[in-house]
Amino acid sequence: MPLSAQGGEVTSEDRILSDDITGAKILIADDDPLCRQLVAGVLRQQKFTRLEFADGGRSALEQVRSFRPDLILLDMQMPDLNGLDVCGQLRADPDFADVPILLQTATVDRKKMGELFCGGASDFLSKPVNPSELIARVVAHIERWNSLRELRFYRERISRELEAARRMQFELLPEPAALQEAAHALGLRIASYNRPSSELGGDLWGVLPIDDGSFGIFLADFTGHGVNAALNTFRLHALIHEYKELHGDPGALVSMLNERLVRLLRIGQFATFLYVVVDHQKGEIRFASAGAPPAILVQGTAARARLCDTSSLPLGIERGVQYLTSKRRFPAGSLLLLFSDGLPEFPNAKGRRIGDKGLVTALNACPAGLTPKEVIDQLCAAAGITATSPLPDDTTIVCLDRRIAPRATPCDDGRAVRTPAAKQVPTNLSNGAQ
Amino acid sequence: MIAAHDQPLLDQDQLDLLRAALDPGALRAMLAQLPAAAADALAAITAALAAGDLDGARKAAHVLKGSCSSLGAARLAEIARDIELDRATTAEMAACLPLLSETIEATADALSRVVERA
Amino acid sequence: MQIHMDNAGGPIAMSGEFTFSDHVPFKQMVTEIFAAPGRSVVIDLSKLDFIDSAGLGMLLLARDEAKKNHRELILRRPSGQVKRMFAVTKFNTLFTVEE
Repeated sequence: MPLSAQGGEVTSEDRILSDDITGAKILIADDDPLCRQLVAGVLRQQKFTRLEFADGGRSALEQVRSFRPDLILLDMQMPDLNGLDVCGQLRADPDFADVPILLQTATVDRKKMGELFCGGASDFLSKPVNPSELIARVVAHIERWNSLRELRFYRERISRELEAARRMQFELLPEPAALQEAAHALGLRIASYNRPSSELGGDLWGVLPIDDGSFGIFLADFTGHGVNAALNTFRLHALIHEYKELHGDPGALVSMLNERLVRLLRIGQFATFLYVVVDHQKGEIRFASAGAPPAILVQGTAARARLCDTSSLPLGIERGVQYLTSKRRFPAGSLLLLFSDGLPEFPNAKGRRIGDKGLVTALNACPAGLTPKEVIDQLCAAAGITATSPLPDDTTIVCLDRRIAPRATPCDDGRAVRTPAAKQVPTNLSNGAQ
Repeated sequence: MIAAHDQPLLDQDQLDLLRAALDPGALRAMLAQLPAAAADALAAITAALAAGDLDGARKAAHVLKGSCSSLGAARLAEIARDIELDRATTAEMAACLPLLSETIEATADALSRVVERA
Repeated sequence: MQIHMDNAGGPIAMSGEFTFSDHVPFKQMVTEIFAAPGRSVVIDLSKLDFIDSAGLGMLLLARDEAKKNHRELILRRPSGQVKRMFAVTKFNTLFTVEE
């Protein structure tokens, strides 16, 4: 019986393995040199080339850490440390928690087989070595390992890209310090809160410089969240800046944005949008809304907060909608609060939502003299939002007021605040809006 | 011992599997090493028994069983298994050694014929 | 969100909260109701407690599907937050809403 006999029945096993598989690094741990040689011989015949060896349990652990194999073949019984112990130690290490480990054992005892899998083995290999079984199991586990690794690379790449997109989106938002400085020059204070529910959000807000006496502020909220909604915020940002000549005319800007978005958005997608021109020189605000949650307005320090009617069709649903501009007084001492529906609709620990009216109540309950930042904090607290609460929806809040006390005398009647600062040129507003 | 005599000297099926899966030169080299490895194991078992080290003798028998069974030396593997698992005392183990020694020689003969004919 | 349908062609009723996570069952329901013969489709919203913008978006998809199939989609008795959402977004001008 010549050793080179070509058995006709074995040709079906002669599957040519791809380089992805045969390029895998395999560690063979067995205290018996002949067994190591035999396993290696079978693998080499299948064109596996990156083989390393360990002659016991401890050396297997060392080798795993330096060689970082893609698959480990462990003999169950080794004198210093048995295969199961090696397996357990490797599984405890996050680096090797899911590398394929095949335990070689002569046992057919069902209980012992169970222990082997409980101990973290990916599979077993029977002894005496059966070459076809050895190859089949090694190939199956390397294929699984390769696809797991590809998936992991893919996920890492996607999450890096999402992070980059998140940063880009963040850069669309006004820069808080520059914004505050610019607002202060106009006798205004401003604060904002923006948190997406996932890494990328569908909310966008910004400030548009118009002239010395006024500026615009917008808040948009696209349906859904995540990549789709985020891409739409980039589109909208570009569109808003395309229509600079309409920034002073809220109704016209919103109507134009609607015409453009109707053509861009798929059915079922839309955005709510609120655009407010704050005219601090005239002491008024002019706004147009596209289905946005109502803004809350406090007209002077002594006034009660009330909701501004913002009801209208959201952007991107129907062509030819004419959005109208509404006007409200905005005297010194006034406060304006804009928010996306993530705030009134946040379900608190009891599953209750504060709602628009609840926000008005909460705002009326705020002690006098709070800064816009403090007002936002109070409202978040009233809604049950904490720094760590996971948000089911993207949430944006912008609060601005005309409550800066003149330098010398504190303002209490809300009328004497036409400060010299209000006449300065808003040089920095454009930085915030980019 | 009766079990061991029931086993054929060589497991032809296993040898066929190895032939199909291995480079002929590599298989020849492994088969040629087996008798010397078995002789080493016999020496290790003998030394362990002389020292009263039952556990050491079992471990040496276990290694012998592994390589013999995988390389198709069926009767040797059975004797090694018998020493590893079925013998409770040094005396019982020592009683197996003459047969082990004989079988190593017979296996070496049979394997050399297999290797030559390759 | 739960969807209650009887097979006798009566109104379909939605209850609970209608949000993004309901898009699979809702789309399936839309496919089913417009595959069945008939003239108008009534969805009873009186037991629906909450709708978010994703839910509104799905209603727009149903409206589009109705148009394509030359069918009439009627939303019946929205209440509470759902009614307020319909008012603020003027959705009652896009749909036939029965009080």
